[in-house]
Amino acid sequence: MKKGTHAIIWSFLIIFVVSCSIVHAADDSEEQVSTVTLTIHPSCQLGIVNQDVTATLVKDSNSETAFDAGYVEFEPDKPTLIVDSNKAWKLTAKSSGFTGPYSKQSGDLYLKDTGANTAGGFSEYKALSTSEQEIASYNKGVSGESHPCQYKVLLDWEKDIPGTYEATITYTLSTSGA
Amino acid sequence: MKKVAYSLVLFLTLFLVVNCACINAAQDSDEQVSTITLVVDPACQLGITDEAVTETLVRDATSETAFDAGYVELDPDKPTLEVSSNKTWKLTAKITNSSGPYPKQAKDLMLKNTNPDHVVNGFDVYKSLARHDQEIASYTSGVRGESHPCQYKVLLDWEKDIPGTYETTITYTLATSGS
Repeated sequence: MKKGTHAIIWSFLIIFVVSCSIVHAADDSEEQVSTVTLTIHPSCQLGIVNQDVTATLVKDSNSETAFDAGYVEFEPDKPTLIVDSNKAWKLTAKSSGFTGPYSKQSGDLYLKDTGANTAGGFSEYKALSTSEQEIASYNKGVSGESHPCQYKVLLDWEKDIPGTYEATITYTLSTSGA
Repeated sequence: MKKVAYSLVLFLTLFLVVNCACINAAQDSDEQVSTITLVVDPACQLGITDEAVTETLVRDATSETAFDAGYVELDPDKPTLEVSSNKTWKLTAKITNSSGPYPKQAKDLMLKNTNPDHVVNGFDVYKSLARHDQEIASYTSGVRGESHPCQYKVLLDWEKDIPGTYETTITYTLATSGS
C-alpha cells in the first residue's frame, strides 16, 4: 500500500512539472500595423531670372541699323525661365500689348525659347499675342529645366515714332493631363 | 440582398465622386511676368546714289546748243536721295564748295526734285540753290526709303562761262524736326 501511495505521488509530481513546462512554452505575442499614406498632388513651380529687359535705339548708333533691318533683338537668355513639375506640364505666354506713343501691334513682339521641349514653333522667333500661346510642354516631370528666351521687336520707319514702348509678358506653367 | 446591392451602388457612386473631385482640384499652376521696354529715339537716315554727276560740253556738238539755250541739264535722277525717318523730317540742300576758272554764281546751279509727294519750297521745278540751307522736301510723319530723284541744271552765259572745269559740292541734310 505504501508502495502504491508513493507511485501516485510521483505521478502527480510528474504531471505538475510537465504542466509547468507547457505553460512556459506558450509565450504570448501580439501584432499591430501602421500605414503611412503620402498624397502627392500635381505640383509645378516656375522660376524666372532677368525678367526685365530694356533696349534703347540711339540715333546715329544702332537706331538706323535696326530700322533698316526692320527689327531689334534684345539680349539673349533674358528672361530665362526655370520649370519644375512632377507630371506633364505646359508653359504658356501672353503679352499685355504695348503701351507707348501709339498702339503698337502686340504681334510686333516676338519670342523665341532656346530651351528643350519647346512647342508651338517657339524654337524660332514667333509673334506673341494677347491670348495664351503654348511655348513649351512635356509629358513627364522635369526638374529645373531651363528655358532661355529672347525677345525681338519689329520696327517700322513709318509707324514707330520716338518714345518709350512697354509690354508685360505673363508666363504661366500648368500641370496637365490625367 | 436588395439592401446590400443598394449600399454597394451608393458606395461606388461616392467613391467615384470623391475621386473626380480630387483629380480636378489637383492641377497646379504658377505664374511669372517679364517686362520689355524699348526706347526709340528720333531717327533718320539719308541715302544717296549717283551722287557724282559730270557733263562735258563738247564744241560743235552739245556746247553751242546749250549756250544758246542758256543752260545745260545734267542726267535725270542723279543724284537720287533716299529718306527714312521715324518722325517729322525735312530735307535741305546747300552749296558748300565751288571751284572753276572764275567765281561762277551759286544761283547758276539749279535743282529739281521729282518726288511726287513731299517736295516743298518750289523745288518740284528747277530752282536755284544757294550757299545757305534751303528746304527741298519735308513731311509731318515718318517715311521708309522714300525716293527723291533729283536733277541738276546749270545756267550758261556765252559772255561769262569761259572754258574750264567748274565743280560744285552740294550738301544735303536730312533732319527730324518738331515735337
